[in-house]
Amino acid sequence: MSSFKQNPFLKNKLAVLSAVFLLLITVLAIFAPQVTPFPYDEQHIEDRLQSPNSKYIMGSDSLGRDLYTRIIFGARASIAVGITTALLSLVVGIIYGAAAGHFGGLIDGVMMRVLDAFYIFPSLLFAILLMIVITRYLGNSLESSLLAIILSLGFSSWVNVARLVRGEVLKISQLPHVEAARALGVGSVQLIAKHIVPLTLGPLIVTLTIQVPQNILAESFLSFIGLGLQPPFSSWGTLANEGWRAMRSYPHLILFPGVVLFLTMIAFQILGDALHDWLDPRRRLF
Amino acid sequence: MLRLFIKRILGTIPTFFIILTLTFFVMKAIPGGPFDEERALPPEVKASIDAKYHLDRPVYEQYYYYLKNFVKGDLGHSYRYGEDRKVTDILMETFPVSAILGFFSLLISCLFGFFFGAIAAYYRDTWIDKLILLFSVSGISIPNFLLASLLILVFSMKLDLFPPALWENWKSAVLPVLTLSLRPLCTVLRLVRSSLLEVLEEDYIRTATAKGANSPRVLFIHALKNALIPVVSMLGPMTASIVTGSFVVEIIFAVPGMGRHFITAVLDRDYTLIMGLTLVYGIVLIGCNFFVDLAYEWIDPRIRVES
Repeated sequence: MSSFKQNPFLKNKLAVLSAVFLLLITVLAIFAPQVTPFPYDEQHIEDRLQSPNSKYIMGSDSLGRDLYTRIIFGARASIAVGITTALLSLVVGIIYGAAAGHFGGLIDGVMMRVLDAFYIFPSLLFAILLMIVITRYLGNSLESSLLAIILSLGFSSWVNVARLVRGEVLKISQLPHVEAARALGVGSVQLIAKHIVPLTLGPLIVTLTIQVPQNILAESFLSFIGLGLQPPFSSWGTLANEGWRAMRSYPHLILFPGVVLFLTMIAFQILGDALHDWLDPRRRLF
Repeated sequence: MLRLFIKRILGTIPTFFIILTLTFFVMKAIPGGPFDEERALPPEVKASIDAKYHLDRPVYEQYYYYLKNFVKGDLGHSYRYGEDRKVTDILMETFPVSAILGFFSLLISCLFGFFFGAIAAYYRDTWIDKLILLFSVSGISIPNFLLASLLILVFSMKLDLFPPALWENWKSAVLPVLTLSLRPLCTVLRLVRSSLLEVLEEDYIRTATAKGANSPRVLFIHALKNALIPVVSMLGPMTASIVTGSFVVEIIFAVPGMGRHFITAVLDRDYTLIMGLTLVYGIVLIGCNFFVDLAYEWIDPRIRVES
């Protein structure tokens, strides 16, 4: 298979660099109050719309708030949403997929048809519809808008997980050790939990590295179109939303949050690819 | 083939039905009616409006009315614009704009994705390949709004080549189409490259090479056809991503298409319009997946035998 020569050194170096970058962003986000020069909502009216300078390293916005501070605090919301949403979709997807794969027959058939409809329908479109409903129930405070984003993204992005788990469960059910366990009379819950789910962990980890950045991007999408976090709180998406309106005169307002998001996405991509190769050496990209 | 065709068409109906039902009940799950907002209406006025839109009936009856009207081709009036704007009129106006945008984005991403993917596979492991891969990783990672802003800053502010907004002539379409097509282009590129590399390992390629076919010929005549299969299977999800991409792109470039109307309808809570637009998206995507399935079976005879 591998007639083309590999360059593991370069690949690993890139993957390591990506991991370091993601770790750095996460640490900055966790210690946001300690590593930023201003409170996130402190306004300096006299310093409105400054370009990057020594006081505001990434400039300031239309209310004179420090953009660097807002990006670091924004990382909190973006990363928190990315991770919790991925975990939520993982849970929903595993339950749905394992049930469909395990029961098979008519139940599997109906469950797969529903899955097909979800698969065809863009998950972000469904997330928007859910968002409308959930925000009406929960209101507009920070906690509830965060929760609304997590719920609507989580319940719209589990489809791929469910498909993956179902396929794996079907495949693994045929393996000798599972058949042996079944022959020995192991019950179906124990069978799934002890003998089947552990074998799906590899593909699930890869899925997680795909889901987290997708969710971060999805959050920025929702916030960008005006459905996400409410001011004065910030995520990378709300910053971009505030930024692009003033783009012509003050491009730094969209460029900085956009580029930080962009670098995060690239880092996740490279890391995900490296992880995928590590778990499945047949599929190499770099 | 005809039997298969009919079977496939019948197969799309439940999918559409699920989407329609899901959208309807999600919309109905919203607490309060569309007319309960901001200023309170006098109770008798509200009662008569509710009666007019059947909002005073139980949900399952409303669902029945909606289905009945849908079959008749009537999607109701926009809550926002009132009596004189039917949802179907808005759809008629905005659909062609978004369709043009989506079609050209898909076309460009397939053409250039194939081209660059084949080049990368042909020059595998050289700096050309590395450069193309770097481009594709960046292209998949860049958020739509950043790309759109960069394109506007460079091509309309600095170089003054294309308009930054509105929808007037072919020039207005250039930047939105570029923004929309970059991500699917990179997806196609990576798929074509990796499936070409896989196909090139197959026996029949070795045979073709052994019989004296030179390598560009092997690549483009023998291998590319088989590399088509995974790309075709991705066309459905690609269309879906273009649909959601169009929300952002149509807002930034002020394109009067379905995407922009969808977002304003969402922010205005214009439920009838949201449902109408969602259904059109559903039909487009189901149609797209339907043709993908057919094309898939046509390209790959192994699938035909199995079904």
